[in-house]
Amino acid sequence: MGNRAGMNRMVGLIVGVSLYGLCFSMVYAEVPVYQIVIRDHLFFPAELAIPAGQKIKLLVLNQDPTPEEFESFELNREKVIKGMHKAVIFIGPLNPGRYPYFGEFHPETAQGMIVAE
Amino acid sequence: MTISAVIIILREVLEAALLVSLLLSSSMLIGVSRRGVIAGMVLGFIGATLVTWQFDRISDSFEGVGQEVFNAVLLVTIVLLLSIYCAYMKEDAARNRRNLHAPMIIACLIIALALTREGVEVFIFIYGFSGIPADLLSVLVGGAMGAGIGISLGVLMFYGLINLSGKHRMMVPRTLFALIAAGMASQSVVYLMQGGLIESRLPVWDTSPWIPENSVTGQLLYALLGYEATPTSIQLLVYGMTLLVFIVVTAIAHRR
Repeated sequence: MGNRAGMNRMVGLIVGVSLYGLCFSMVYAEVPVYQIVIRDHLFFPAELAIPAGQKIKLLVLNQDPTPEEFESFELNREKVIKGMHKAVIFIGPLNPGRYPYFGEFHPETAQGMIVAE
Repeated sequence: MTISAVIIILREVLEAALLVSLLLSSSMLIGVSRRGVIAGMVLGFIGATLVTWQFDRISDSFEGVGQEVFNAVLLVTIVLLLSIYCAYMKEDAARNRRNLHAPMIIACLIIALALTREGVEVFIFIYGFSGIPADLLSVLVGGAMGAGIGISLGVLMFYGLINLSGKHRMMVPRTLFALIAAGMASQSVVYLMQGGLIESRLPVWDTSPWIPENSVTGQLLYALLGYEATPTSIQLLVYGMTLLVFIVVTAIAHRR
């Protein structure tokens, strides 16, 4: 195999993999919206019930002047939300169960739970 | 406050430190100037400052999921650059003078982009406490401790890598590059799912009872392999395909 053929094959592969990412269709179906508020480094409601097996849109409103990071290992989600800002986070579909999340910048108090049922 | 600062800064610094030590040691190995990595660190610091400054604008773009789009694009770019860097990972790379500049510039870009990504969170976290003098000191102390641990682990890995002998000298860093890249590619998929840009699925398995993601082992495996306890099928597919690309790139680089 010559240099050219090798390089071409490599470039082809890289381009192929990039295009693969575009193959996922962008689906904007109607998804139910749920809201969580951050105030005084606490989450309201502390426990939020959502339907299992379904994608939902979570609106997180940070009403504190300080930034917070919504973080959950169980949900595989992390997002920085600046003070007095809101964030959009899509979650699920989830198996039924309890999924803890926390505010990484104030974990002493900012603890919450999402319950998929 | 101090403990959470230690953890946050450690998590961000650890990922960056492993990549820096890997690129530094590899550059030495193939005889490429280390200035690229140093320049990349400076550029990354500037990048993180600029992104922190424009954070609201980035966050609010793409209907509120600009952060996810930004992170995914950054990660995919780093993965592509890493694959090109791996094509230069040959013992005799320095013999061909033409081969000296490209890997140096690529290493510079990788470090700049990686540090930008990790730096933003650190800056926003610390900046958030700038108005609260009582907390700021403990945040800074905790942050310095976290950074110290992360950098120490990076230094440890650096000396481990440059002291490898024989065939391991090339194989270990190549494997680490492939695994780190695969983890990043999989992470970019998570960001796209978090932003609702691609459809998520139910996870394929759950290994959290054995290795929880928030454990020390879990975090270290995350930085090295992109470990996730509950991956979806799309993530596993992208992870596998990225590994395949790196194997092919290495095989081609060897034949030339």
